[in-house]
Amino acid sequence: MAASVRHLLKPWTPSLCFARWSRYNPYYLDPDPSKDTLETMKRKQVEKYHRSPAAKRLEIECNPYTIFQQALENCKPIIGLASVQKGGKSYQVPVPLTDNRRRFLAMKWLITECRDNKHRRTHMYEKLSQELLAAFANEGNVVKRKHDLHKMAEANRAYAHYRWW
Amino acid sequence: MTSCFLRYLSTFSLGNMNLHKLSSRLYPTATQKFRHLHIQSSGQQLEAVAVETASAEPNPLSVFRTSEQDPTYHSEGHSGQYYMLPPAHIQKLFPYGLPPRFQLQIKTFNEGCVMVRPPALELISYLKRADYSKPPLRYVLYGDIGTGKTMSLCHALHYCYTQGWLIVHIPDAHLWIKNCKELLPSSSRPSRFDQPIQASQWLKNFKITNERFLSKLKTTQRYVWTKRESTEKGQPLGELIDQGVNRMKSSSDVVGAVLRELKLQAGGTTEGEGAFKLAVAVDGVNALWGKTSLKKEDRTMCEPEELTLIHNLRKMMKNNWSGGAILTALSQTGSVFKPRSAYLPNELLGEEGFDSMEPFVPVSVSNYNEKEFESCYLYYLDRSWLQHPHSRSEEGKKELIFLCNKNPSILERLCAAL
Repeated sequence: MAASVRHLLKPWTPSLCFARWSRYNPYYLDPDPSKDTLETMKRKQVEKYHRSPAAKRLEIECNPYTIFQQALENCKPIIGLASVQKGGKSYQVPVPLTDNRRRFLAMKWLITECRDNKHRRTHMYEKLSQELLAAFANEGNVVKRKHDLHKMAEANRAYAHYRWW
Repeated sequence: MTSCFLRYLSTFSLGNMNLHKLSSRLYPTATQKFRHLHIQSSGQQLEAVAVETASAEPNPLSVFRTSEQDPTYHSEGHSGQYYMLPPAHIQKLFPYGLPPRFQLQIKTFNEGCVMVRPPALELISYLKRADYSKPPLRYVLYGDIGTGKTMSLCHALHYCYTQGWLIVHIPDAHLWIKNCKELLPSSSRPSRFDQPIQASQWLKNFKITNERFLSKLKTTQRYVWTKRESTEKGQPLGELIDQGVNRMKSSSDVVGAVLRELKLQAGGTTEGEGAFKLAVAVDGVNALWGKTSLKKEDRTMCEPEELTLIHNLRKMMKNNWSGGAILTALSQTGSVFKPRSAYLPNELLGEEGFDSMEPFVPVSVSNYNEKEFESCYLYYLDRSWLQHPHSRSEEGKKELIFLCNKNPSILERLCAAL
């Protein structure tokens, strides 16, 4: 029924076109950017599922929500670096990160990776879905960046005592 | 970024890695039955037959698939069930004719399954009982957006293909009246315009579909393309088509010549073994009589009458030949200058179109009924397309019914995101 009454949510003159939502005129529906990524991810996984022999089918995860959760989990760094100034020189000190900060970093890395390092002509949802599927399998540039951060933190282990908080 | 974060939080509360296993523990019967169906073997049709014959009580698994792959034998009993299109037929008959989302679905599921529905069954029964010595009957599939007109047309075309008819299929007539990159003045007539790209594309597709007829049919007249090129009388049709594909300039005229030849020879009275039935299938037939969005060089609008391809198609729509059928479907989605709410033949064809198409047999296509929705839902579950745990529950199903109003295309788009 919602599909058949959707045409009622239209501007009342043909020349009007709503661009944003306001509480006095709630006829604008925000486009949902996430459904395209989920759909592309699901399509790739379901295609892989149907083309694989029966033995491999149990291992292929088709639920786009679980893939997204797991990919984000794989991109979260465990330890970060903070710049501490001591004796006139600033050092990169390994520092624990809060949950919020980790989540923020994972999402930011995914988005910047998709914006910068992919082919210009692909849509954002395609780029995101490729990157998320790679992160789910622990491959791809974002997971590599997380590993680089961990290695840097490991290398700067000696400066850990400069942290006072 | 904040909206992403909020959505992330919402998915986090609903979805958890353990929820997948939890759902399979809560609904053991349904999901495990489907898992069993997957793991057994790759012969899904065999499984469906085995399940149908083995169980005595009404098993919901067997309701949504049928093993009958030939549209000739589809009947009311198969209504609401999915039958598989053989991959060889898909490649030959429908390289371009299926809706784009359905082509994506074929690629994803690794099989092409079409639902048997009453409008298509009605059309096929008319085709079976028609008298082919009389002028062809015109069938018009009409209905609201997304109800399955193109799919019903493709089902009927598959029937014609299995019966060995010659198929003239224009997948979307709207593509010929808009977005044309090259509009050349016609080589044969001064007041007409040619569309070489579209015409040669169509000729290539026609060749793929009707390979076996090309060497059997011969031209009845001499066609002169330029001063040095001409096709003699009695040449096989394949040569005519090659001429059109290779020489883009005269491809629209070649299309006209091919249609004319087929019209003359469809009755089958000229040669004894060359008798064939002609199926003319046009999707978006309202494009032939509407307005175009193409402009001439002096920036005035082009009339559809001035385009060679449209002019020749209109001649095919007239029933002054015999030995075939004209199957058409209206379409509002690709049409230019038509309101979104228009779906009846009167509104979409306009006065001129209605008068030219009259008399026709209208076939109405509507949204899914309960049984069809049920079988569509079960099909998606079987193909592991509905992944969200809530969508697999009864409440989720009721939500889906509410959201899509049992409209096939909207249901498909909804389930894609789940």
